[in-house]
Amino acid sequence: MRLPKVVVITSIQAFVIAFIVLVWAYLVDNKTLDPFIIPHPLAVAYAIGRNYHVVLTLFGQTCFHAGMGFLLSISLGLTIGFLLAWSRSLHRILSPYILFLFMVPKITTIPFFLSFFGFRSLMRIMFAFFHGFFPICINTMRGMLQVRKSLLDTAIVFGARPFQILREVVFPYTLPNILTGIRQSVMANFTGAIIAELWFGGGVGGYIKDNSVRFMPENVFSAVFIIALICIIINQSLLFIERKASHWR
Amino acid sequence: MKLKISLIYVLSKLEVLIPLIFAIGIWYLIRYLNIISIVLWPPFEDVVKTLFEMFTTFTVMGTSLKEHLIRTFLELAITFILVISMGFGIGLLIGVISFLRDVFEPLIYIIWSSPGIVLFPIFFLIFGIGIYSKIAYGLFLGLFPMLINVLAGIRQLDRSWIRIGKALGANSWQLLTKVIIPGILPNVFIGIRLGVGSGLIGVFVAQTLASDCGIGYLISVATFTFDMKTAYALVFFTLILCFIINYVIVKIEEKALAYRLVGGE
Repeated sequence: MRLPKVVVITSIQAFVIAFIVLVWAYLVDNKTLDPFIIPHPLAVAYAIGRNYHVVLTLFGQTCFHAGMGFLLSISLGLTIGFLLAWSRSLHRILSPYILFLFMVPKITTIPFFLSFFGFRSLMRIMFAFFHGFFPICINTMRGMLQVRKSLLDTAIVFGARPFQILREVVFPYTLPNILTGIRQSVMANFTGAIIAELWFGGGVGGYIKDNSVRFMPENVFSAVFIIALICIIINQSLLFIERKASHWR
Repeated sequence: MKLKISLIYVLSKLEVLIPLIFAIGIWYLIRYLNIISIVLWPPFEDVVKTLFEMFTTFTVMGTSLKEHLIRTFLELAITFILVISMGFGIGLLIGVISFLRDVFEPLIYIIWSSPGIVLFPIFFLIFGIGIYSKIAYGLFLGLFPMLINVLAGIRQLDRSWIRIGKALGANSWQLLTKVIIPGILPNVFIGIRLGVGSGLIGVFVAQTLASDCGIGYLISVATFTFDMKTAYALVFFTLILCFIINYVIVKIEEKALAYRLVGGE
């Protein structure tokens, strides 16, 4: 009897991960890695069991920062992305800046946020917004510029008004790109919120920072693993929605 | 006549500067209306003067700027070389051998799609605050875009090319060097652009959050000591640096892929 391919692949993947964890445990037991800095996998597992409610409570605060930033970045990003695709001169003038700011390490601009918003929660929100704005804006713009000319011509021939063209042709055609932009924006919002928290405290980033300066590495590792798992789950579910919405392409 | 055309050309290029002038105008408006305290929001000419002084005297906040610049460029160079070489090598290895591909490709996608910043504390704990944590974290952020693009290139490769290569009697080494690598080159260059961009972000994040040397470290120190003139000057310097790096990469990509437009089909 041959096993189905999926089972074989999944078991090999599980084996690879288990192998990495075993090597890690061996190196820590062997004192090759200092257990004071890199904790034993079992210590991390105990720490996850011990702190998960603390981490999840603090993650709620991070979610607030990232979520507010997300609302801002999606509303402004969709609007500006639409304007950039709609107006040719605006596209020519503004899009180099947006493409450039998309690529730079945005963490270096944090002094501006400190000056504008102080140490308040608003600063973390705005920093998350600044991270999440560019993916959604650029994806919306690219999607709208890709709409096939023949579709627009057909709609005009059939006598559609501009708003109808937007609703019936452009929006459905751009939807997969917008969803891709939303997924990238959510991840970028979390990145921005956590960076601001790693600098100025608060939320799960502050928890990680406090525990790393107090030399409690098992707490750091447990928080990092919980957050990474949650982010992967969010990302995969958004990816699932995206695939559902764009399968017709 | 020729002069006129070039004048119009230059003027049409200058319209790109409009948002920049607008931003500087807003900067002075904020200063004029005194919305933000002068400690946090110095006049723009002070920032430019600080940037200018920084590079004429090579000192910043009483220390030498040279070691920070050398350290930053060293970290960036090592990160870029490692990202490109490791991404290309590992991507080719995983992409060509179908068993490895089945096992590792989903894992690579999952790690790539999680926000890398949450894993920074682990790199900090393992590699310390020195040069190694920057290189390791830049490599971690930059490697995955590169890998993903190499893998996508191999998957999109036209199967008939490989069949023709085999039919004409190429052995597997020739197949790799003569068919697969030239075929995936456009994707490799996209991967280099994204990977180098992410590696740059990784190095600067690591420098800013936990470091003992480098431009990012200077920004964080200047911010926490409220030396905002220096902080803004360094931010602008970083932005210019990133602009130059991205510009160079895009130009190299255009040059390297020019043969496709000329020769091609």
